[in-house]
Amino acid sequence: MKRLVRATWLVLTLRCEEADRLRSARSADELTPSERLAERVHSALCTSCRRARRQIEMIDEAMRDLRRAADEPGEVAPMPREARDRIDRTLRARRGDSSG
Amino acid sequence: MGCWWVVSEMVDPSRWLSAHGDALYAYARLRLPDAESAEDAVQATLLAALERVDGYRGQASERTWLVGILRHKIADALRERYRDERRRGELARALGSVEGEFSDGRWSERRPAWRMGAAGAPGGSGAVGVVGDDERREFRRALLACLDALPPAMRDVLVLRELEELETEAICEVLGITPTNLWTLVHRAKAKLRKELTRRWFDREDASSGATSASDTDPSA
Repeated sequence: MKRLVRATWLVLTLRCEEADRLRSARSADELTPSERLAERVHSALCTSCRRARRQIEMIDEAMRDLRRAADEPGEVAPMPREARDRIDRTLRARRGDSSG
Repeated sequence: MGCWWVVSEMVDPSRWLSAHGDALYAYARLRLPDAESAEDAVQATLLAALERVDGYRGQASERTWLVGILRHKIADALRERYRDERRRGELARALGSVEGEFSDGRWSERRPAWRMGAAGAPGGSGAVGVVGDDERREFRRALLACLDALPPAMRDVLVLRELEELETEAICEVLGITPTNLWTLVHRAKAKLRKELTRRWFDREDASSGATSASDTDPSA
């Protein structure tokens, strides 16, 4: 009963700023059930928060996509030619030192 | 030393560079805030590989072996940055910064909806508001630019948490902060990313071409 009262109180008093902070939890297990419920109810009723919530979800998904894409060379950030040449020179020099 | 010489005969670091250089660079570039640090990490990786090549027994693929070394180099680079007092000062500032999105706990202005392209649904396609491969590539680069525009401490926190998927405890150890501070930092970072992405992608000049004017799930928009 006490927990129900506390959960209801949280739902009723949650403000956008705090709801937005709760949205940054990595997954549900970083939130208490009351916090999760409160954020959901609040976002259902508040247009800005609904948009903000969806945008955070999209950012999470876009980050995962970026990580996958980085496995395909050149897709995200190709290595500059000069960088490759510099590294190649350093490697050759080091190899020459060791075996010569 | 004779043994080293025999092994080194079979090792051609230039071949590593041409076979894996781009992949290592992309991996590092996503996780480090600028091209120079990424280049340094790749070079350090290949040098370390050269020294340890007799420890490589070929159980893992060459790529996996090199990425393994690279991950350590990246972790070292981050740890080194936060050992520095100045960086810790930067962390404190990032924690204390005011975003200006809220006043008195409420949004100071109505959140703009993101205009979505035909393939804009999150999940399946992965990218947001994006139609076709070219635009998807463009979007990824825009997202990387947004990440790079974050204060370094915020970027690093997102990298460790969202890309490396490190546990809270491990991240706090690297950055020298408490879990509460970590969460605040993640929240600020995502809010800033949301703002940057709105400005650089969704509100860009040609945003209306190819994108429908429909907003997200909000019917009242």
